[in-house]
Parts: sequence; C-alpha cells; structure tokens
Amino acid sequence: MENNVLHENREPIRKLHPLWMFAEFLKSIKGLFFFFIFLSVVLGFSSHSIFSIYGFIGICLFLCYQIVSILLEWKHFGYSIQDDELFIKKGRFLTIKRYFPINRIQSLNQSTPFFHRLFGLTSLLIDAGSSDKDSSIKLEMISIQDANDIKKQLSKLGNGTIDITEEDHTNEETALEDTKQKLKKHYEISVKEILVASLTSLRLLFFLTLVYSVYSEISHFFSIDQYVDQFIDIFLSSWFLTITGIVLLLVLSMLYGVLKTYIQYGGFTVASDSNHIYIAKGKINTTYSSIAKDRIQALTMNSSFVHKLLHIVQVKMISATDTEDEVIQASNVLFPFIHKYRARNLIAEVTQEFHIKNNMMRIPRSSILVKLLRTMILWLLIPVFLYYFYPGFWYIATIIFALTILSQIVSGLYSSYSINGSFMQIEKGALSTKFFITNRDKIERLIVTETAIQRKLGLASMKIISRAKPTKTTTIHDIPKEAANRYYEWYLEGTRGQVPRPPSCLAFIDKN
Amino acid sequence: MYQIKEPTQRISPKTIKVWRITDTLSIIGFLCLLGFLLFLHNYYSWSPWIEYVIYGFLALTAVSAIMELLIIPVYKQKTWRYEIDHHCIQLKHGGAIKKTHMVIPMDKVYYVDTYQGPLLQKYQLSTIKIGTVGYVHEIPGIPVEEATEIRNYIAYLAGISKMDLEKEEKNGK
Repeated sequence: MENNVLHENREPIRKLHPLWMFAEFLKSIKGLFFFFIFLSVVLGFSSHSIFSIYGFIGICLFLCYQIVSILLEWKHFGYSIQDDELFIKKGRFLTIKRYFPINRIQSLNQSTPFFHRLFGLTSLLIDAGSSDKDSSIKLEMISIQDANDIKKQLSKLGNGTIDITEEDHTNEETALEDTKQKLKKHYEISVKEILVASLTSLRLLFFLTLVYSVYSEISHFFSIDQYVDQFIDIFLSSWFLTITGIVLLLVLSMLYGVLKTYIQYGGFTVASDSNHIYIAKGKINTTYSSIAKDRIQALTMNSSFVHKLLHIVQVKMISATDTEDEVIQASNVLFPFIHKYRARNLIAEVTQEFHIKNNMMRIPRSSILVKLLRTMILWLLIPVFLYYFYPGFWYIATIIFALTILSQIVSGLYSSYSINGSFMQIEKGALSTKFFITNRDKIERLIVTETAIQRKLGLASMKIISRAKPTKTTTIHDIPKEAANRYYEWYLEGTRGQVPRPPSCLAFIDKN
Repeated sequence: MYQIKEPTQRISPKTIKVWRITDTLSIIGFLCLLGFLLFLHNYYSWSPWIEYVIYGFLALTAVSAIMELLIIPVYKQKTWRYEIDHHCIQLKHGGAIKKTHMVIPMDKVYYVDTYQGPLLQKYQLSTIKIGTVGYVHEIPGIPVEEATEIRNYIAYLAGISKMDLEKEEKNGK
C-alpha cells in the first residue's frame, strides 16, 4: 500500500535558485582577480601588458566560457526524491544522472551564510554513504522551504523509519509524531563557556597578527608610518599612557576573541532522537547537521595545555563525513568546549554507545627511554644543526631541546590505555592531551609493531585505523608487550564474533 | 605471558630471486644517475662540495647494495607470514629489527586483486593486493594458482559479509 502511494507521488525535479549562477560568476571573477595579482606580483608584469589587446581578448574569451559553462551547469542540475532514492542530475557539457538510496545516507549538513539568509536561501551537503570518492551531494543555494522539505522526506524515508515500516505499515503519521517527540535537547552552550574558552585560547596572538596584517596592507597603499610612529611615541611618553595602551590592547584583543568565538559557536545546541544526533550552531553563518549514531566511528577529546588545567575539552566525532568542503562546512565537533566530567556524562547520554571509564592503565616508565630515542632527531639533531649553522638562534635550539625532552617525559608518564568490553580507550598526554575511544567493530584494522629496543624492554606499539576522510590513524607507543598481545587477541576475537561464516569453500585453507 | 600466534603461511622462496633482480636493476639505475651527475659536474665544473656529496652517495649505495642484495631479501622472505581464515586476514613481516603484526577483518576488505609484472610472471609468482580504507596491502610472492585461489576466497568472503551487513541494516538491527 504505502509503496504504491510513494510510486504515484513522484516528485517534480527541482532546481537551484538562479542566484547560484550569479554567485558562481562572482567566484570566477574573484579567481581571475587573484590570478592577475599573482601575475603582476610574481612575474612582474606591469598592468599595461595585461590589458594589451591579446590579454583583453583572452579575458573576454575566458569570461564567455565561464558564463556559458555556469549557465549550462545550472540548466542541467536538478534533484528530486523518487521513491526511496535521491535523484541527482548534473553536468556542464555532459550530464550524469545518479540515484542514491536514502537509507544509506550517513549525514546531512545544512549551512546558511549570512548573505544566503537575506535571500531566504540555504545549502545542503548530504553524505550518501557510498564508498567511492564522489559520495557527497551538494545542493547549494536552495530555498529554506525546499531544504526543510528534503530534511523531512529524508527523515521519513531514512534510517529512522525503518522501524516503522516493520510494523505492518500502519499508523505512520503517529509514529512520526512519536519520533519527533523523542527529540531531546542535551546541551546548549552557555555564555560562561564561550567566555572562558575564548579568553584562555590563543586568540590574543591571532588578534595581534590580524592588527599587523591590516597595518601592512594599508601601508602598501598609504604611507602611514609616520602617523603610527607618532601614535606610538605618544603612548611611550609616560608610564601611565604606556600601561593604558597595553590594557587597551588586551581588552580589545579579548573582545575580538570573545566575539569571534561567539559568532562561530554561539547558540551551539546538541539534540538527539533514537537514531540521529542533531547539532546546530553559529550566530551569523548558521550550520545545522545531523548524523546517524551508528556512523560515528570513534570519539576524540582533546585539550590544549591551558584548557587542560581548567579541565576543558573539545569533543569531536570521527566519521566518514567529508569535512573539507569549502562551501558547506560540515562540522565534526560534538562539544566545542565543555568541562571534562560533564562531557563524559553527555557523551554517554547522546551517543548511548560510548561510555568512558576511568580504569585506564599508565604505560610503563621505561617507555621514556624509547620515546627519547625515537625523537632523537627533534631534540638532538635539529638543535645541534641550528647551533652549528645559525649560532644566533641558540635560544630557539634550547627551547626545542627543552620542550621536546619535557613533552616526551610527560608523555611517558601520563599516556594510558584500557579495554572495556568491546570499547578501547587511549589517552596520550604530553603538554596537551588527546583522548580517543572507539568500538571494536568500528576499527578498520589493527597493527602491532615491536622494534629491537622495545623488545629488550618488553614494550610494543599499536596502531588503530578508523574510517574517516582522510583515514584516521591513532597510535599509542610503548605499551607493555603483553597488553599489545592481549589487544591483538581481543581484536581477533571481535572479527570472529561476527556473523557466522559458511564453511571453507576452497581447498587451500584445509591444507593448513 | 600471552604471545601472538604467528600466522602459518609463508611466501615462496623464489621471491628472494625476484627481489634480488629488481633491487639490482634499481641500484644500477641509481648508479647511472650518479655517474651522469659526476659527468655533468666535470663538464660544467660545479662547486667541489657537490662532488663530495656524490661520492658520499656512491659509498652509501655500495654499502646498502651489499645489504639489499645479500641479507635483506632472505630476511624478508624468512619473516613474512600470512594467514587467511573465514573472519580475517593476518599479516606479519619483519623480525629482529622491527616486527609488524596486522589484522584486517574480512568485512573491511573493499577489493582484492592479484598482480603480476613480467619478472613475477617468469617465476610463476603473483602479488595479492588487498584494498582497505586508505591503504592497499600487499602479500608478495605467492605462486600463481594459489594466489588466484586466495583472491577468489577473499572476494567470496568479503562479498558475503557485506551482504550480511546490508541485510542487518535492512532488518533495522
């Protein structure tokens, strides 16, 4: 019954908003502009030669080509939801038609830059979950209404409703209502968190570089050096003014940091239902993303040195979602800055899968020796090289030497590991901390290595490869060899615990 | 103390010959390159330190050639092990200096190929390439017939496990 209705309700093919062409055109003009800057700066062409008659014809041809190809791209692009598939038609001179099964969709990201919102537009990035490279679908500049329609359709047809179709296809509407009600808000970022995180991060340095880059940009075109010198002289004329100047600079940079963090993470909320996690964030450019819980391959909790002292961590999800698209920034951040203990509780609550335990074992102290030998290039060769060839930079050599040795010792003292059931936890601590938790079934492969020195000390290293884009490799060095062997066996057991396989079909296995 | 069980299968001893031949070829290639650089150095009279660098490389090549031709192939062949069962592929290589053990579960295998260059063909050997997320693993030096069998076996199991997973997904777990 239901299927028939769906068949009859074939959606018309929808298109992107015409403004998309304008935006693309602007983008290509911008590219052209930077190309000219590159030519004139690097190759030293004067502006006359660029605008010679050949150059002018070249530009015209390029622009014509761009206009035609953008027009064709827009004309050929279309999407619709047909039955349980997402249909995409695209191409410039050749058109491709593709169908993506909706129940395999891994995640959905919606991002609305400020200018798009002015026109009631938004963009969607859908990870279709196919294994080839071209697995993400980009719907740039569609109306917010259309985006909401798609989201609704996807959640109706996607993973969430497979449970419903099992129940004799009866009251689908009420079941949908149920799932909507089950949507639970877990976390909303507080002003305090934004304040603490932005004041303790290194935004101060960024602010100073920003000021400097603005200054150097301006000084290219106007000679403002003398004004700046006068300005600085005024501030240096008395102690009082100097202190006021420094305080002013600090306050400004703090404001900048808070504002920047607020714009990026303001209104960060995390909600979930039985199958998906939903994240919304941003004040000026808003982003909305949803990811299926079973697609989360692993979680990481990282904190910088200062944040570590304050017990603040950043929680990220490792998944195969493409996070490197320029236009639609898919986010893999689950909690940007959150107190460590609260993070643990919320992770268990939101994912319902990852429970972080405290029973982690420290790696043996003898590991410090191996770690120091492994990083010898960093703390011995580079400082010696610097000292020999650039004696003026002796302080940099000393800093590199001290920091590397210190971080290796701390890392030897504080790295730890544990297995809880089918979960594996790894924490690597140097000056900053990296925590990693994954499920055995989600590990793509496991590698145990042992060098000659490690063997002498009874140590081994372990590598865990998780599915992500690009592939994520987590390494823990110098755990006791016995532990490494146990992990290996634990992983082997995991592969055996899966679906029972048919008996051997070939003779060569029997030869063993 | 628990020990990792060594995988049982070995690779063909003929692989040693193949490795020796390919290494000889690459060493000859590198020597030719160095010779050419020396010639250019004399012809264009470059600054003297370049000569020292070239001679340094020559000495290094001589030492590494002895290692690479005499010891390393034997060591590699002796220490290479693999094992394939219904659930996973286990690989092990290296020994005294650095030993590596690896497990690849069957359902994480994306594709499997056998590969044969002209030299491998002469010795009736194949390399098995196992495609996984982000990397292609190779088992070198398997006799051709066995390699084909292994390939079919892995392809069969990997296919089976993916179908199972899909079935699971459809049933909503």
